[in-house]
Amino acid sequence: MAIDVKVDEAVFAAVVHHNQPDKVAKRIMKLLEELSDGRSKTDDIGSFIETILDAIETDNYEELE
Amino acid sequence: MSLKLTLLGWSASGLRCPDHQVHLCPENSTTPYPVTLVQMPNGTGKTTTLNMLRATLSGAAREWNSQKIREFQRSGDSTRSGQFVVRLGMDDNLLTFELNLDFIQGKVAYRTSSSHSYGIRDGFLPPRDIKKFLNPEFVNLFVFDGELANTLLNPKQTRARDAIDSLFQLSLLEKAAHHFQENWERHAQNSSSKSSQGLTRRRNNLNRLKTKRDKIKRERDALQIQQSQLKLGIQDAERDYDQALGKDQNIGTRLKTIKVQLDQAEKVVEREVEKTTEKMRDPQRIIPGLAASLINLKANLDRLKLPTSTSKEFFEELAEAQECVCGRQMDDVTRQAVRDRAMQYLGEDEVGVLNRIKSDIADYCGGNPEQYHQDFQEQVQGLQKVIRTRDEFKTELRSLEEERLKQGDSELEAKKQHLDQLREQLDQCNQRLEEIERSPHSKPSEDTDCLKELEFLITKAEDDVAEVTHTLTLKRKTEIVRRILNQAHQHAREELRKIIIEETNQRITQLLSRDPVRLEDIPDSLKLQGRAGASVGQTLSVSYAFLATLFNRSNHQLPFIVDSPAGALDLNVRPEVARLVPQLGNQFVAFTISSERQSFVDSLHQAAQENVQYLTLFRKTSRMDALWQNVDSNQLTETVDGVMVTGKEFFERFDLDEEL
Amino acid sequence: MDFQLRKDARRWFKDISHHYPTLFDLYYFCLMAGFAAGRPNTEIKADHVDDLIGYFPREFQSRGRLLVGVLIQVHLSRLGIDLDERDDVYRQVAKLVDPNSPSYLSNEGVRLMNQYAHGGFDVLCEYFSDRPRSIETFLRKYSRCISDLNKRN
Repeated sequence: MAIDVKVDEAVFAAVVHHNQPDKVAKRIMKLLEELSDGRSKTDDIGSFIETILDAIETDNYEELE
Repeated sequence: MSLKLTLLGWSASGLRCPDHQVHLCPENSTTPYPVTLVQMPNGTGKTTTLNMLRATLSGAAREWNSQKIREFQRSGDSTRSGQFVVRLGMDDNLLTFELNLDFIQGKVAYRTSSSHSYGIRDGFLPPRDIKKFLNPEFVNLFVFDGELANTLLNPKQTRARDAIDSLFQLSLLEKAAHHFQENWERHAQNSSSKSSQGLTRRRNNLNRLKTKRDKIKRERDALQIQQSQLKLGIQDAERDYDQALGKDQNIGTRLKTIKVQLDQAEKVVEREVEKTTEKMRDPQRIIPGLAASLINLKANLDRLKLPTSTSKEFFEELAEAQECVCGRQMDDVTRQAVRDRAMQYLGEDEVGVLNRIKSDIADYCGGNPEQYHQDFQEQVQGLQKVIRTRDEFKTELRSLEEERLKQGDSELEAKKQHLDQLREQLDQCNQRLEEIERSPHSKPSEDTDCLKELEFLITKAEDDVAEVTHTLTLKRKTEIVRRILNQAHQHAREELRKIIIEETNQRITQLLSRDPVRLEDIPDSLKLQGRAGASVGQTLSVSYAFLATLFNRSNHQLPFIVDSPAGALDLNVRPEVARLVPQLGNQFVAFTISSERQSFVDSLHQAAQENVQYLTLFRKTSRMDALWQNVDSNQLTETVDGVMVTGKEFFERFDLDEEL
Repeated sequence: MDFQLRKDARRWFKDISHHYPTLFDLYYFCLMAGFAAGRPNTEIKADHVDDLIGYFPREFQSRGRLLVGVLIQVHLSRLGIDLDERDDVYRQVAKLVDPNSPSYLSNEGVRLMNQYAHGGFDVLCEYFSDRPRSIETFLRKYSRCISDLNKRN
């Protein structure tokens, strides 16, 4: 089931706002699509979670309000 | 891909409403009419029908208690059960949901069937793609009545915000955040430390150990330098002392000789100590009679044919065979006996080790077993002898020293003291170096000065820091991604809200041109600008406008089922609402009463391009007979307690708002 | 499972330990004393010992299997099992030996050997009035100690 384009835009904007690379947004959208299809068991989405966490950068992350 | 859901029809039997069957599609078609109006006088069971529709589409009846279930029983009737069946079209899939009510037991049961699967299955089992729509919260958005319209505008409720979240799947962002949190919690449960205080503590410990290690290394380096210097110093001091000692010519000559002899004797002792140490590593040398005992062991093992050439594996294979080696048939009892015996034998590898032990016994204890210990005894005696010889030289040397010291030479005494001091210092230096450089304990204490142990502790401390660092890194990353998801949720909701507000206001303007209201915001509910509440008509209009905007935006096509779509609206508003109806979706089904027709039905008929199905449903009672006696049988469907008439003409003629 | 040296034994040998390349030599001295006296000590707790290694070091590689043989012999003797009692001998050997272990001993075998080493240290402490200060004295006295123990046993 397609995710609304506004959700897509919001995710990308939030990723940029948090100084994270684009791939984080792409991977989050993949996860959301997976959840949208009703797959939410830990086994199903574990690798999505891991992939997203791998892409997160902590070095250039600043504490934001 | 967007979803297209259509209501194809429903049927009711044994319930408070009259038994009836509604088909929403033209004959020989699976595409329903874009608009169906179902006219039912009040008291006919409109509310029951709508409630049944909601319950059957959402699975909500599973939560009903027996009292609630029995409320749907036909009044004054001893009917044992009732049924409501809803037929849906989902793209090319035909779905049927059946709700069966047992009034005696006060229980409900669902059944589901799908043209894409085989047979009817027990339970409320909507396909995965539409599960998010067929739940109590969402069904109320498209099976709609005035009550919902009120909740959309009720500031104490969050129905409007929930509708946006639901339709645009914003809850996925929250769900995703929750999964990250669960992932972190699962990891944290297995970690011994999760806080930054824990990390600081471990880092401090690591730094402390490293500082200590560096300090000990510097101390060791200094001690090694000191050791060399002391050795040189001792050499010089010994030379000085010997010179001073040898000032007396007689003593000097004897001193020289003894020193050389002592030196040689020390070397001999050293050699013999080494030889003795090496021989001591042979157990058969140091324990008297051991060689003989081991030979005896081997001899007995040989005699008993241990290890036997027959091994455990032989018995295990035998236990699996049909016949024993003696020719008897094996049965369960004999098999178990063989397996039990197998445990008493060695495996082939064990046999191998035992054979090698026997071989070593033969090699190391063979020949005359007495000779080994004897040989060692001789070695020890030899060592004793050379030690004695060396000690004699030492004694002689000491005597010479004493003789010389007795001569009262203060310079000699001073040199002796100096030499002794240096030796004492070297001793201390050596002891300290030994402690620093010794081999490590397997479980060193935290206050150790042994360098190897410190390195071990440092490695362990580094591992501890890494463990917490990894945990903290995961925590940080989890925080970051949750913030992203949260922000995206708020942002998306905000953007969607803005769009929906704007488009809803456009629709409201069309609907309520004479008495416009304006939607200001949708924080949780629909908030109107400048006013706390609205009239029933305004509420309905705003709600229709809002839902129309939602459904249009979302690309999903859902049927819109409304109770009294125009009932509370002013006559001048009704045409506007009627024109709005086709925009609400591909299918509009409304339950009306006769008084709603004015200014509404005709406008709707036009707006729907005359593609409207008209149904009139009422109870079959003697007093209603006159209404339908002359109706064409093609337009008539009669059940045990209900009558349904299709057609616009009858629909428009029917002028009962209430049952007779 | 590793061979284990008592922490107090390690301290006892401290003045002469630098003469030996590995701690296993010190373990060996305790072990031989234990075998000679036939006295295992089963009560030494884990935090009172240091783990050494799970195999015989280079200096003892050629003697390792012999030590296993000594363990078998001493243990059978202590249990009162005659060498002609085939099944019983077999059973004990199977318990102590593990062909896949680097020391050829099973965990049970290593545990038993350690117990003899722990008991051997008790014996050394009793025999020597004070800890050894020089290697020369130690070697001679130790040799006498083993002979005397063996005679008594």
